[in-house]
Formats: sequence, structure tokens, C-alpha cells
Amino acid sequence: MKKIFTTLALAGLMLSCTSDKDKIEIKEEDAYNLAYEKSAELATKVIEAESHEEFCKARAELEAYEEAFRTQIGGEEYDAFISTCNEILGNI
Amino acid sequence: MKSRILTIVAYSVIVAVVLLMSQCEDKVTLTTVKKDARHIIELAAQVESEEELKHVEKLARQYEIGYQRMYNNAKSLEFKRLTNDALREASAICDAIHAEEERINGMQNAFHGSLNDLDAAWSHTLSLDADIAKIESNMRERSEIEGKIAQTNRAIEELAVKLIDAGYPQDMLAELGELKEQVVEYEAEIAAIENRTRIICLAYELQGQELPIATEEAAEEAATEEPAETECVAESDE
Repeated sequence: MKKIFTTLALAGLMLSCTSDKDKIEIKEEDAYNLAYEKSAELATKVIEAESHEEFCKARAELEAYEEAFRTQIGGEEYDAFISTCNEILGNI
Repeated sequence: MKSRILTIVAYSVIVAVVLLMSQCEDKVTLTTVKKDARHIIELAAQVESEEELKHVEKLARQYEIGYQRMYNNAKSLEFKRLTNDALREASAICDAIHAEEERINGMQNAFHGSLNDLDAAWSHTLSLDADIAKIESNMRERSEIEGKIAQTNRAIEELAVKLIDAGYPQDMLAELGELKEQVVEYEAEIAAIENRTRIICLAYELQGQELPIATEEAAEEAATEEPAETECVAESDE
């Protein structure tokens, strides 16, 4: 019984560590510049991918930043992020 | 005699209860016109959604009815005059918020739509013969729908003339609305077909293969400019 609980606790701990590590945190003071930088960098990565696998990786990264900007910052910065992405992605 | 009195009393009680219930339904506590108006103005200034706006408008109506019932039309009109501007302003703010939400939704749809198109293009298994057949079938489907649009537009024009002569009857107006909706649906079908063609072309572009196909537009261009052109230009409309 003790073993099962220990294993479960360890698995939980590992899961929480992984999710914390993967979570993108955006500081409000950097948000405006980061919105332009990251959107341009990641959207370009998406359109310049050379394989489906590379595309999927780039897409996941771009969507993770989109979600971070939408849920943590919003407003003008999110607007800047998504409109820059659309400008780049719209050119394909 | 006794039973008649009892009946009258019973009816009176029922009427009184019904009247009391109808009063309770829209009950607001009236103070003074200025004070109540100020309360509504304050609430209107805090409106941030359509739901909140509806709540404040309903409350204002209840005050208006309350003043009408308890006092007179003059007090009710005075209340309306004092609150009108604030409610109109709240409604304008609400419209602006709604428009902003629509704009953001549009941007988000474009963002996810582009990524889904790219994913579909990467996932597309290239098969030259089958893809050329698909593009040609898309072109045929498109010109069939364009024919239907032209036909529906002619029907709309004819109906519009008849509508004026008939003095705008409801059934004809409804028919006209249906025809216009039909055109919008056809246009959406064309957009979907174009997108399917675009994804096939994009698949070849992304996967570094050449798609030697000429659409109607390319054929026309080729005839006038470069006869050997084989580039995929199915998306040239956009």
C-alpha cells in the first residue's frame, strides 16, 4: 500500500514539475516587445518548416505563446502578437 | 343572500390577490425621481456587457412604470428624460465592446484557420493524377455554382421589380430574403472549394514538388503570354 502511494506521489510530483517547466510566463513589462519578437520568430518558423514534424513543433510553440498572451496579458499586446502572426501566416 | 355575499367577498379577495401579485412582479422601491435616476445613471456607467445593459434597462422600465402607476405620466417622463442619455451611452459602449469582441474573434479564426490549412497541406499525400483530377473537379463544381448564383441573381432582380409593383407584401419580402441567403450560401460553397484547391497547391509547394496544372485563368494567361507555363495558380483569385 505504502509503495503504491509513494509511486503515485512521485508521479504527481513529476507531472507538476513538467507542467511548470512547460508553462510560458510573460512578464507584463516585457510583453509589448516580446509580442512582436515572438510572433515574428515563431510564425516564420511555422512557414519555413521543412517537414511535417518540424511544422507541428513550430505550431505547438506558436500556439503555446498565443495562449500565454491571451490568458496572461490580453489587450494591446495580444492584439500585436496575433496580428503579426496573421500577417506572416497570411503570406503563404 | 348569505351565499351571495360570500361569493362577492370571495371574488373581491381573488381580484385583490391578482392585483397584488401583478404589483409585486415589477416591484421597485421609489424614492424621488432624481435619486432613482441617479441610481440608474450610476448603474449604466458600469455596464460592460449586453446582459448588464438589459438588466439596467429593465430596471429603468420598472421605475418608469412605477412612477406612472403611483404618481403620474409627468414624473415617469421626467425619470425617462434624466436617464435616457446614460442608457444610450451604455448601449453605445456595449456595441463597441461587441464590435471589439467580433474583431478579436475574426483575428483568432484567421490565425487558427491558417495553421489548420498548413497542417492539412503538410498532411496531404501527394498523388499527381488524383490531385489534378480533384482540382479539375473543383473547377467544374465552382463553375456550376457560379451558374446557380447568376440564375439566383436574375431571380432576385425580377422579384425586386415585382415587389415594387405589388407594394412590398410580406411573403414577397420573405422570398427575396431567402434568395439573398441562397446567394450567400453559394458564395460560401465557392470559398470552401477554392480553399480545397488552395490546400492541394500548398501541399505541393510545401513538400517541394511541382504541380503541372493549369486552371482556366492560367490557360487564358498561357494563351496570351507564356504558353509553357505550368505553375499552379488555382488560388489566383485571392
